[in-house]
Amino acid sequence: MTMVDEAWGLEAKRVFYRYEVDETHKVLALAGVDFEVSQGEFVVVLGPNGSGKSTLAKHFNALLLPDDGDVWIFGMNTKDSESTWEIRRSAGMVFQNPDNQLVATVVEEDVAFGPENLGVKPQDIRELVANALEAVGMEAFNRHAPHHLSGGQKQRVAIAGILAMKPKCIILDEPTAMLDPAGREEVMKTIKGLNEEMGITIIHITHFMDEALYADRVIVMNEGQIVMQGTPKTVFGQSHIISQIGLDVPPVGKLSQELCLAGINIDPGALTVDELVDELCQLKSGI
Amino acid sequence: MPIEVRNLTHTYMQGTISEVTAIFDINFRIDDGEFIGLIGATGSGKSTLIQHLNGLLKPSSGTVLVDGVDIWSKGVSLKKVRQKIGLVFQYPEQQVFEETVYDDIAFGPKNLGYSQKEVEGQVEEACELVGLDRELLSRSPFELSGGQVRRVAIAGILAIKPKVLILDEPTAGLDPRGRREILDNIKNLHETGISVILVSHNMDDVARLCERIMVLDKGKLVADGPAREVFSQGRFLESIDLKPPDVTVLMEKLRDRGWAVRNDVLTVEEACAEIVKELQRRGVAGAI
Ligand SMILES: Nc1ncnc2c1ncn2[C@@H]1O[C@H](COP(=O)(O)OP(=O)(O)O)[C@@H](O)[C@H]1O
Ligand SMILES: Nc1ncnc2c1ncn2[C@@H]1O[C@H](COP(=O)(O)OP(=O)(O)O)[C@@H](O)[C@H]1O
Ligand SMILES: [Mg+2]
Ligand SMILES: [Mg+2]
Repeated sequence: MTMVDEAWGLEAKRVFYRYEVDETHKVLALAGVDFEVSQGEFVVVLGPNGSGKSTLAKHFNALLLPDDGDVWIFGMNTKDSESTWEIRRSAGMVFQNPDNQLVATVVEEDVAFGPENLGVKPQDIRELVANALEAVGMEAFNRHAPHHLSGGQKQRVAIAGILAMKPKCIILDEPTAMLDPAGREEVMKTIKGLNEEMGITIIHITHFMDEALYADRVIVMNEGQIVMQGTPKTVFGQSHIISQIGLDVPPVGKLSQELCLAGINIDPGALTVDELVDELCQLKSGI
Repeated sequence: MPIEVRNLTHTYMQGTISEVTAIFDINFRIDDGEFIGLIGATGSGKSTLIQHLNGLLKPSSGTVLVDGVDIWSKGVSLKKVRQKIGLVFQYPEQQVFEETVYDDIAFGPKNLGYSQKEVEGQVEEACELVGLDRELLSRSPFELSGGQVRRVAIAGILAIKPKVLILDEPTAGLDPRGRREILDNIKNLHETGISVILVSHNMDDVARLCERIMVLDKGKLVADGPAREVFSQGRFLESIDLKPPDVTVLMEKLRDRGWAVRNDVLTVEEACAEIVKELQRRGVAGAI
């Protein structure tokens, strides 16, 4: 076992990764990615299709290993094969399609799957499963069949399955892509709660710009590189780069920017409805 | 090609213990050239409803009239109905099965018995309409990006020259650029005179594009009217797990704070104009 320093988070150092399509043809998916995530951070990753988001995510739980450079997960190098299981336990992944992730016929069995695989004692598993389901607000569904749940509920069960392994970090690759608005909000609030209450590090990949507003930090990828990062405010403030690479500023952000252009004296970086309402309501007349 | 739905009810697996009534006593009429947004939570019956409009599903009770004729009455060719009313399924990439993009788009018109020459012309035209590069025609559909596959699926339906185009969540899972491109295509198609029914979870898109909104909740049609009217009912929409566009919500909150702004704005541009106007009325510096 490698020693784990609690202060360490996730780190990618000059990571290059190529997919080998055939002998003559390789696709450069990551072109020198430098990226650090501190313990307890909530990071949202944006970027057009094919920009390397999923490839990067898979590096964080050792599903892929860098061709060049290194990836460190809580102090463990992903190239060190002795650490692979510990890395996968501490940085779990949730994917897009909830139906492909749930395997058991009963919710609690599905959640128990991970700890069982880790060889946890049955009596301890019960408690892990109960706690995990409670953390995602699905305890009342423990005896239900997963296929009868809504999309948002299925994703919460998938998240519980990871929580049952006591991870430090959860990496979610477009977990909301197939959900309706209520399901999306359900999943976003769940992961925000896990981040705030349990200190779990979150890396959330999405095409929904409004989901970036949950983040401490937003990373924008394009063509295998990180092209921008910062708070949602700084990132969406650079609207020319955002639109250049095909992304969008969320509607309220766009409205704030347009109002500023029209000469209204408000913060052009207001991104949420409540922020903009407050900005507008403090404007004084007749000066 | 008006479509009229009367007292339409559909029950899956009728008579078994797992029977589900997916849509219940639905009534509406769609006229030529309309652009309709169909919204509702997952499971509310959207996909079930639209599959009745071109005869893919048979009503458990009630009728679907196309051009005034009940499509399930004797002597009506469902094949002709499906030629007039094209439906693009949700996640069409799961149904792409031909070897080349050309074959995939040509499948419909070939099936309808058009000559090879006619088929070629229709494929060509369909590609033009959705902005699909000719070079892609000889490729395998599996080599394309998500957005391109959606366009192939739409082209496949357009190649049969429908009068009505129904799209079931055509932008789900696409990145912002892919989504915008598909929506621009759909908007252009509507401008050529085709009626469009767009099923979507994206309220901003639906509010911006659609003139009329139909809302399903647990199998019932609970609202049907102009986009402005439907989306100004924020509280009602929230009660059925939907929400108006953010800019509409913003206007409602400004009204709660005593601002004299309209609550039925649908786009960023409209909201901006409305707020500037109110600020000018209030004599706020900068807004003049
Ligand atoms: N299994 C694969 N084989 C070959 N190329 C791949 C494979 N997976 C991804 N790629 C390519 O790698 C690049 C990055 O892909 P990906 O990480 O999936 O991007 P994103 O998740 O941002 O859409 C793209 O050019 C994509 O086509
Ligand atoms: N083939 C089917 N067999 C049985 N039940 C179905 C089938 N398709 C849909 N349903 C049920 O009908 C209801 C409406 O589903 P659907 O029309 O797919 O809604 P939406 O498209 O709004 O998500 C749901 O309860 C769903 O589970
Ligand atoms: Mg991806
Ligand atoms: Mg559906």
